[in-house]
Amino acid sequence: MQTGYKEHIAKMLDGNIYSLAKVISMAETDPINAGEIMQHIFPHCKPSFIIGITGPPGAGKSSVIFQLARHLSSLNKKVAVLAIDPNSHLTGGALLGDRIRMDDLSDVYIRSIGNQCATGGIAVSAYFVTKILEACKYEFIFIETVGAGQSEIKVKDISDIAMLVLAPGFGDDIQANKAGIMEIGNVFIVNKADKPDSLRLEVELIDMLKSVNEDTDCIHIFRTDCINGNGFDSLIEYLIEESKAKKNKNEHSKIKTQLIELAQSKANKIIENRINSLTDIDTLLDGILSGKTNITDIIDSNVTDI
Amino acid sequence: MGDKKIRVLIAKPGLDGHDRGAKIIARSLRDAGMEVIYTGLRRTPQQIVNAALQEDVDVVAISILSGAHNHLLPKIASLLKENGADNILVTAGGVIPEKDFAFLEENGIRGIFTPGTPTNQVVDFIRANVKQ
Amino acid sequence: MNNKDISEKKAAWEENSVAKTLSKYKERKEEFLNGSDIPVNRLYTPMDADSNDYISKLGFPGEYPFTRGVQPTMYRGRFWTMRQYSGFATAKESNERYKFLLTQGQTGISIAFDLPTQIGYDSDDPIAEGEVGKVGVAIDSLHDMEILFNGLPLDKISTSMTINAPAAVLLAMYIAVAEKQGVSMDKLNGTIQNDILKEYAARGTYIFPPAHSMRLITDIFDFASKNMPNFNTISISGYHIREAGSTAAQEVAFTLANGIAYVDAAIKTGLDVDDFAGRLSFFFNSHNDLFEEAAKFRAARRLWAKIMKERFHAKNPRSMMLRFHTQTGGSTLTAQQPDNNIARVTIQTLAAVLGGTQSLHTNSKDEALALPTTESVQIALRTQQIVANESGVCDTIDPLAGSYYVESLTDKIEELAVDYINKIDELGGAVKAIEMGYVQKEIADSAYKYQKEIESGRRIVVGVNKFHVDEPPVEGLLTIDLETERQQIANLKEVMQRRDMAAVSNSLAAIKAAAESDENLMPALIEAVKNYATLGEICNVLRDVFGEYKSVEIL
Repeated sequence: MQTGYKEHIAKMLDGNIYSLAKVISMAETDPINAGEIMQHIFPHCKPSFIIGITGPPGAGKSSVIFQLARHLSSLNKKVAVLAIDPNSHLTGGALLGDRIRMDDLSDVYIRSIGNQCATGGIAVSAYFVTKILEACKYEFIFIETVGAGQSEIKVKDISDIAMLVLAPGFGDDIQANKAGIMEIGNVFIVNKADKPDSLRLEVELIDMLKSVNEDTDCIHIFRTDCINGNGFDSLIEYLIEESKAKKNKNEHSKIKTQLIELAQSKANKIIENRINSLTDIDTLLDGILSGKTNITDIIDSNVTDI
Repeated sequence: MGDKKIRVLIAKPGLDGHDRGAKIIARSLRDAGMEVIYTGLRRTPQQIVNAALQEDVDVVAISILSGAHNHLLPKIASLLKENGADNILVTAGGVIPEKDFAFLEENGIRGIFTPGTPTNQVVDFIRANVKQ
Repeated sequence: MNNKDISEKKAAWEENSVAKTLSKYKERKEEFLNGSDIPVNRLYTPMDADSNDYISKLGFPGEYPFTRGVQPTMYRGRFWTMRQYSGFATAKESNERYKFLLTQGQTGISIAFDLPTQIGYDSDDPIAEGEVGKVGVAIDSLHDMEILFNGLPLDKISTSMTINAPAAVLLAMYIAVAEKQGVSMDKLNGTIQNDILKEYAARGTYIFPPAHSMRLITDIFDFASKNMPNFNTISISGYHIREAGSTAAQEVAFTLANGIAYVDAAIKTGLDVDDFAGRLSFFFNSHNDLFEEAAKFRAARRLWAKIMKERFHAKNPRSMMLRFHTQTGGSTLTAQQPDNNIARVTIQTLAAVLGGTQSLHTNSKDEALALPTTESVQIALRTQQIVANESGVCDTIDPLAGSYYVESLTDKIEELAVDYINKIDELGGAVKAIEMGYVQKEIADSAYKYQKEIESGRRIVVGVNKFHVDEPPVEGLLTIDLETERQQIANLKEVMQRRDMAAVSNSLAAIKAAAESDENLMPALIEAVKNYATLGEICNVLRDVFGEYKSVEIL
């Protein structure tokens, strides 16, 4: 790992933002690095409340996060935002533009991440980033993702609460999302409440949710309007209540999933490293191609101990 | 150790609203495999540096066409230095007269790209000069 | 000879003469496409332009559908207004530049304001640091406006002000200066750009959110319809949209779509379309593809006329006329071999004149490097004067009409523009389309494509990707130093000290009250500027009431 990481960890725990950013970078690149970092920071971790936010482009996720972060900041809560955007499959590059709408809050830590991580997958990366943030005493962490894809669902698994932001005219074809909608979570934000269609959207949403699951008591719908700043008081109240209730929840299965995933990620990396560093790798690969070598023999002789 | 992608912050300081170039560079860098974070318009030097630090970028690429470059760019470079981030490569693009290049280079700006520069030149410069 | 004959003979020509030449050497490109992706054929014939439709598609200058021009005698009567956009540093220096240009034969004034002024900040605001006087003149209060127009009689000149978000305030100042000169509002001639939608879409100098900005605009329409019959209250702009990278067809489409939004908004406030539509004006770009540009202007005129008649049921022909100012394309000019830009601007001038513009600004050769020097702006003005007086193109109206190519292009651009406007309608109108980032994305996509074409060599820019030379840095460019800023701030402090603070406070309170109600804001603004309330003070009151716009960034 990079030299000086211990100094960065020390500075980060002391409140240095640049060091925090550097430590996050180190953890992102490799779950083995991340493991080492965890050793150092674990004693400092204080549980935070992690809020997953997803929804179609244009619905206003970043604006909603801006309003929530602003409110929480004004209540002296320490807030961080992880904004996850897709990397291009072709080039690996990414355009990460979410922080634009949140940039005016200088004491909120905002980090933009591409979902194609060096290894381990985004959920693993995001997990370690939240841990690092917890070591720095961030109390509310927003994780913003787009849509309802596989990686977003996994991210939801590391969140304490998952919220779907919808807005009239922006991917509000709820029917199309029907299958994925209950996967997201049970909190829905109908944004752009100042627009005339928002009420219709809310009604459609309720109908659709009822058709999927009769019991709508556990479903929460909030109407917000970022331009005039309306609707956030009740949402904030709800989030703060939920953050207090977190301690009392039995989330064993959730934690077990995380545990297995992280273990798998580390194992994957170790296996990858081993195979890449086999001395006679080219000969072995030729052997497999020509049919002389049995691929399972290579596996058995190199990775059984895992 | 995994390969860390080059992270670039594209910044628009001051009141200038021309973003055609900034957006084109953003896409070109993305196409070259980099992760690009765009600040949007009307950012102060402090906000730009804040973003650069939080995002642990390798490059801060400033776009400016309003003539206020001699004032704003050195400020950004010096704020980065103050925060221990002078390893970050600072470049500039836009309408900047050649006679100002020396002054800007003395003040921490490493690459200056004026109208007509092909985007691959920017990509190559970043790849050659970034410190990771 | 009918089309069938032509078709047969054309086929024969292609099989024989053309084929023979192609066997010796190919054409320069596999496919010829213009900037709007319209295929450009080897040859156009009567088959490409339906001449039976002359009356309904072309008609006569000054009559619906105005394809051939909005005035019956066009340049045989009067040349277009030669109006060079300028302004820099302080009001005093700008005043001198205006006086110079008027002595050199310019016929109208066009004011460029600095960025702090355009965004409603005083020169001493921290955010204005480094920007004062750089891209235009700094105006902090009526005092600066008075200096700006010192010695310029407002009943004799026509003034265009490129000001958008705080246009109402600058208009109020203009009215106040005129009053001091003894000139009443109804005598004032000029234009304010006042086109906020394109700010959100392409230019970036917005302040308030869309709904409140539209309110300011309709307040101006209303006020002017009653008090300023000779003043253009908006210049619906495509120039910046094109500069941001759009195609010619998109330039027409997005501009007219914005126009539709303004007309809708004004009608919603209760105005009758014929009350204000006659004073709507437009502002377009002029790029290098001579025929595409000329066709573009003709298409825009015809399409707007149809829109006003069929969609808005205007009765007065004046309401259907698309009158426009043109500026030659800044983005086409190069920093490399700047003298070449004079040739580019000449082509662009010709395109605008063949397109029937009412007013024209020509860029100076040093455009890509800095604001123009007196020498280079003089050349730019002379370019217009040479085209006007020496080329002969002004001696007949719409000389390109009837060209098979130009008519085909005119039709095609109109068609493409209609498609875009329909799409925008589907999205709910221009305001909605901009809020969704649809317009911005189309523009950015076109800009990116253009850049890739240059880099692949598909599109040639002389001196940049072909015919490049090593050159020393250009000397003698105009610079604005920080002394301007210091001086402006000092002047501002002085003005603020000398005024009646009680009167200022009261007038600011009156603005707040008007902003919070339905009252037309103009009277309160005029009162406030007369008391030397500053631009920043007034805009801050409005910011408190209206809020600030945060843009949607579509990369």
